[in-house]
Amino acid sequence: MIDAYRDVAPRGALEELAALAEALKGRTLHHINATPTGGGVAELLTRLVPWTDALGIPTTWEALPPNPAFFEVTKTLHNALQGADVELTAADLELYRETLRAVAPRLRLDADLVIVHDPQPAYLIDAPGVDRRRFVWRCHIDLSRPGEAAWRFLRRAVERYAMAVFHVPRFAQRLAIPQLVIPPSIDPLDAKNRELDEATITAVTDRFGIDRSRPVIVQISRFDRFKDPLGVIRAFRMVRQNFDCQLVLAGGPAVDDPEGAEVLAEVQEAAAGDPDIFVLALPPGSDLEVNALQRAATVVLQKSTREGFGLTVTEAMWKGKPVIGGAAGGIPAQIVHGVTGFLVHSPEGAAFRLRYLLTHPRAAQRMGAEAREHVRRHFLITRHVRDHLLLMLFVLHGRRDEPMRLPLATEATG
Amino acid sequence: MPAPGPFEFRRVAFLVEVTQLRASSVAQLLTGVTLAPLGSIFYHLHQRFFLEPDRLPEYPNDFAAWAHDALGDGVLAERLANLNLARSPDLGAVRREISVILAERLQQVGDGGVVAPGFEFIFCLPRMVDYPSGRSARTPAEFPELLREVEPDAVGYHLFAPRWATTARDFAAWFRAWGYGSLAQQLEAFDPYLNSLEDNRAYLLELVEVGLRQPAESRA
Repeated sequence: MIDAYRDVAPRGALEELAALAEALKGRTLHHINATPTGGGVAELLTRLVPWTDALGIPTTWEALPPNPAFFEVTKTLHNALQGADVELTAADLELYRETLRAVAPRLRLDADLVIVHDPQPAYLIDAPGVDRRRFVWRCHIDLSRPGEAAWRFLRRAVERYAMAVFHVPRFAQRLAIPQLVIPPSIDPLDAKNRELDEATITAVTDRFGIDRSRPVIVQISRFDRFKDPLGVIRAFRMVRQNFDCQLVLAGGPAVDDPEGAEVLAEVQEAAAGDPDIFVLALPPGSDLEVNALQRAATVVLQKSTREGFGLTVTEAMWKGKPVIGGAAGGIPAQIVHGVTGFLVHSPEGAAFRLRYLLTHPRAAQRMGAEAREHVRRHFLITRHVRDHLLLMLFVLHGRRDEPMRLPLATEATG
Repeated sequence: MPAPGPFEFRRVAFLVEVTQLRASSVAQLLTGVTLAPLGSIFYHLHQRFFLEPDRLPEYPNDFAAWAHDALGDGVLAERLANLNLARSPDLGAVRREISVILAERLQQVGDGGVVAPGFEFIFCLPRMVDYPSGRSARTPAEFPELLREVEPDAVGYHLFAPRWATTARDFAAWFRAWGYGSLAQQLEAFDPYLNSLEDNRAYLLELVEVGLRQPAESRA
């Protein structure tokens, strides 16, 4: 599988992976997260696990067993950590801890490195038999302004890990453990990102009734208030005063997101009666549709007000699209303002930039080309795999003040 | 005298570690620069070269870019961009030079500007791994071709890492060991902070190819 990436990865990337993996041959890596499908983390792991495995590092992945009551609590916790004004009761927190206590004996906790993703499984660190020196907590959410009580609760668990990993430096917290930065990535060869021919793209847009002879503005994301779908509709209505264009709001459900249906209903109500707004609730596994919609887009929006990273931004950039993104979370780390797209703070800002890009198709094309190269260098899966290998090296071989030099001298490892 | 050993081109990869130091104003940046580990100073002076190897950013280091982007202080940004890194004997001296620039600016205009939340300067550290590129020059004649082939991070590693890591090897010492004293001097005088890594590669190639046309003097 690795060779298939030779034409898309940056020069030297595959050789780099081989050199780093050589120092980790035979070591084991295990991932634990909340859900096997839906949402960015499950998507990332679906692609990352085979990669490290193929490099000679036996890699496994387990998701927590589905439990609606537990996910109600973790969704509230998730929202509170991203700054929403919601409250967790003592009973909620006890249900959360008790669920993880019950689940822990069924999970594999003995790999050389265990990466625990996001708040849902974070308290597994308290499970009996855990070697904390080999557990890393990986945060995928926007922790730049967490609710105080929620963060206090989570921090008690996080500080017992060997390290914490965030998408961008701004999400790092005051913690007594080392905090590293690993941005997420996309897989250029998966169904969501691989090249598509025009006939396939048109077949998908025709199925939804989208007219490709007019500009298409697309936002792909779960129906979540932090993605600001209603703000997107407002921006679109401002733009439509000058341009005959269409808006596509498309997203799928995640099993750990009980709010999704409620937000979808709000969006459908806001769009009701407007034939140029397409609200598409895509079923799980709609990767081809997402790929085609992004490729059919004239401009892609990701107008989030909070965002862990916003991989849909990277996906669209890889397809050569200029992206207008909310200046939130990890989006500023992806969009180079004025070079690969624009960062905005309001529906008015989104409308202004949309009007510019729809008026200047050549500038839009240039930005799209810059965007693709930016993704190639920084946000492809090959870079992400490299970062996981580096993380393993640092966890297994301790802290160095100077660069770690490979091949490693024979030594006892911690 | 035996021939010097081969020059092994090494590549480098790093993860970013976030420290607890943050700055929202010039005064806080001065405090941070004073307290930050030298590895952090190294990181903020060099990471942009590795980030975009074929493009020299408007401001070559993070301190200057932050002064411009977050503080909106163009004068401070230009002074920090104009640091003479190639002439500074070590990172400690660079730290002092940055501190003097920040202290002078504070004296001139006070500590007026405080950036909005989310735009603070966050001091980071590189967690670095260097590893063989698979390319080693056994003789000076082999060097240019390999320099042409190596990835840009290897060029950056040999140009910049010797300022921080004692194990990193620079180009000049190797050519001096082969008896190319004047080429070594030119390589030492070369200022890599004014170019992108790809432009640096091109300049180095030119220097080396011209330098190798002269006969070697005597081996060190």
